[in-house]
Amino acid sequence: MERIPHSQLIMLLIIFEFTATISFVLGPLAAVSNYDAWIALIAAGMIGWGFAWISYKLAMRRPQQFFVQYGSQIIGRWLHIPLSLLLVFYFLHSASIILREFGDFMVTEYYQQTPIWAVAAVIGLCVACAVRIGFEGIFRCAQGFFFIILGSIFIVPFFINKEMNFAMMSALVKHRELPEILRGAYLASPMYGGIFVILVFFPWIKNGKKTMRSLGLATAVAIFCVLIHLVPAMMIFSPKLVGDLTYPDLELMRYISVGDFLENLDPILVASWSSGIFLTISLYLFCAVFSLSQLLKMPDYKPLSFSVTAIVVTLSITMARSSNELTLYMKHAGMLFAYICQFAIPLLYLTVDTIRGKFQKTKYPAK
Amino acid sequence: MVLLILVYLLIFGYEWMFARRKQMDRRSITIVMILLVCGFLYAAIQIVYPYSLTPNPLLQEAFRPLSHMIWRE
Repeated sequence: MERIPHSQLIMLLIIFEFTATISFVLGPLAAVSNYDAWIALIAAGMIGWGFAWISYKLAMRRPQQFFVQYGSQIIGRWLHIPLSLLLVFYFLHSASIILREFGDFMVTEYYQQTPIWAVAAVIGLCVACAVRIGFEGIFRCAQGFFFIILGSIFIVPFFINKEMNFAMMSALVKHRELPEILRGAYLASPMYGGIFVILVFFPWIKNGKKTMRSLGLATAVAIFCVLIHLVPAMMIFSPKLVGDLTYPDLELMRYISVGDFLENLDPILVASWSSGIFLTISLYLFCAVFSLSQLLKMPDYKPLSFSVTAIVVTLSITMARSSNELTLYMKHAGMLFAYICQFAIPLLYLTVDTIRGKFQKTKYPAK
Repeated sequence: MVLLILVYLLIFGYEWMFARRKQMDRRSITIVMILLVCGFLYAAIQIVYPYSLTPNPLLQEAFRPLSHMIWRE
């Protein structure tokens, strides 16, 4: 298999990190962090990068092997299998949450008469095809979408700078409340910590030693992409209103009015969101399918793609009865579950591997 | 329900053809079919009993003590 160059890795991870954040986390983040939301976002990015560092350190111990294959050598087969299954479930669950959020968005804002299962099924079909094509297909797709998505994200601040209330800048700079920053960082860091997925496909990355630098660059650009939407949204609507809006970025886009001829630019936003969310779900689903196939010792992961996607679509429709229920779940359980999978599990493997390595060195010292 | 059966039949047919074309081993075919049956049963149960258990309430219950500590509710 052809190895993934760092340029493609960076492009996919930038899209992966900022799309779901900009689409669904801006409101909750502003609600808990108020004027400190931008600091909380930077802190969340750094925490997420820290999570990825643990996975990177673990992956670098055996750079030629896949995590599901070597994990049993570290903590034993009986603990490794349930933990790997938990990770597979986390990937599936994350994919279905994002699919549900996007389905809710499309149904409430654009396709009012369309049932959510129809939207989820169409996206599911695209994602299943992408996963079936393979890992390279997802990365090439990210490379193709990257500049279009980034272009549509970067134009927004230029169009709305006249509407911004720059007097609010002093509150953004001076207002500091540590509990608010911590709560915001707690809420947003799993969105950036998602890059720990490199653990699943690390042997496919070309020149693995440079991965941490690429992850840092991807996180920095992703933070910047969210900031250039979050700060204008807060300066136009105030943090209180941003916290109350379901899709603040969409409202920001609807605010754009250049002369009398350039209005209603939200289709551009929907196009960029849908491409980004397609890639995010594809990556999560690929990680789930690939890990599951390795866990079941199957020679090929492709036959699992359609059946697993069908489960994800069903899960996304049935996981919550309303979007409020999903928001409550994310606040009370979703983030903690993400912390366990992104941080605690890789840390457990790394710690045990380090202790075992030291123990073996003292038992069998090098001659 | 009819739509669900049709979708799963379509996936079953496609995977069956793929397995025959690629001459997959019996173990892999069995795994794929078990996964399909599990997926179908889960979806069918959710349609017949809309208030049946899903993973979210279970996870929410599991993390409730920690969540209360964090949000101080």
